[in-house]
Amino acid sequence: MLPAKNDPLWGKVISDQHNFEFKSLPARMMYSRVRQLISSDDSKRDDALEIVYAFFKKNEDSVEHDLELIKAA
Amino acid sequence: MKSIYSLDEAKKLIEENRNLIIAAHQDLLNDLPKGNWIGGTIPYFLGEEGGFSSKEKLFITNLPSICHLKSINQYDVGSLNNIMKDYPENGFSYVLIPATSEAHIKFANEVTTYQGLFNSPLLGWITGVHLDDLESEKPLVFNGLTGESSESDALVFHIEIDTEYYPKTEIINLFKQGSGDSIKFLNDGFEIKDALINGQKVNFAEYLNKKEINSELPLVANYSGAMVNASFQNINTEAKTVNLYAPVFTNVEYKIASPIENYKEEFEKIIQQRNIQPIFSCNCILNYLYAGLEGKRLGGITGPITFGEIAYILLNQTMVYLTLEKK
Repeated sequence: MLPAKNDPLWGKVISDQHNFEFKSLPARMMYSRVRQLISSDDSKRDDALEIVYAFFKKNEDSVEHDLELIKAA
Repeated sequence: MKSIYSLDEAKKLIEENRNLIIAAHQDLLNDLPKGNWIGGTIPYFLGEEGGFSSKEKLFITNLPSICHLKSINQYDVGSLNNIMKDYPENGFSYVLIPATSEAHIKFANEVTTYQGLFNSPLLGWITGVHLDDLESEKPLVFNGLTGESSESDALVFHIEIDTEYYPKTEIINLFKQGSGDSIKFLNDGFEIKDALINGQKVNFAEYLNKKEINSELPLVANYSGAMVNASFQNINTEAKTVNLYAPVFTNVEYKIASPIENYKEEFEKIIQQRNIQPIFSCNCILNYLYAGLEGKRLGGITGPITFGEIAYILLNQTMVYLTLEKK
């Protein structure tokens, strides 16, 4: 089950405290994109969170393993 | 599964109302009737019997019956960011873009900034021509629904799939970052003048010549575990510029790839490990040339040999594939 959009879990993906080793190609590319977005402009954190949540919601079936990594972190 | 067809066989498939993705020389694509297909020009293929070049045969991906046409849309250079707005609810989007068109360059440079890019699989390839015809022919895309071709626009087949399945796009890139210098660039794009080598500003063309870098080995970036290549097109010693087949970006660290001992063997090992049966795949013409794939089979994988591969972003020297998985 996908956590709600306001669940603090999503914040882990854009946090400097974590370095996720995602398995699927789109998760890796999405992760790389949001990290670049934040590293060049810290005010983009909300945009990055939107990208992360939309990605997992739209790809729920194919990125199950990657979601588990976030939950376990 | 059969993938190489004669013109008559291709016409028959179209008349059966199948959803088709077709790669062939422009003369063949021009002769096809209207129907549920998109086509891109390229005369290089990896067929059941191995790699070959032909202007008489067509490579056809005959999509399985769980795939349904949502729409075939054409996007000019100003509307590329609308591709994602037309993504299917549960499916994938298959994109073809003519090589060296404005759409090709803009897509490659900007696609990661497009809203919703990663929300559904986007894959496809850059169309091309026979290497002997680079001066006389133009890469094209064909919209089977209208029968029209374009040398400038991106064409996308948006495909819904049955709800009990989901699509998965992956890549096989044998190249990994080597242990050499850290390379960063001072400008984004396909043409490079200066670079920061381990933090020191140098002319990149001079650096490559001085270090006698093998230009068959691409620059490799690590996108959170996904290895993304930018391949060398040309090192212009006079102008002191370097041209690439994919753009590089200022905020990314690159390294020259480590050499691959035997492309075919290493590739087939991965195919065996992953145990995949893609409904579509494509591989790069540079892998075809540098690894000598003409006449060679490659682990049962078939597909067009292309001027650039797309898995969300533009890739080089990489195999892209799509599988459909049961939920």
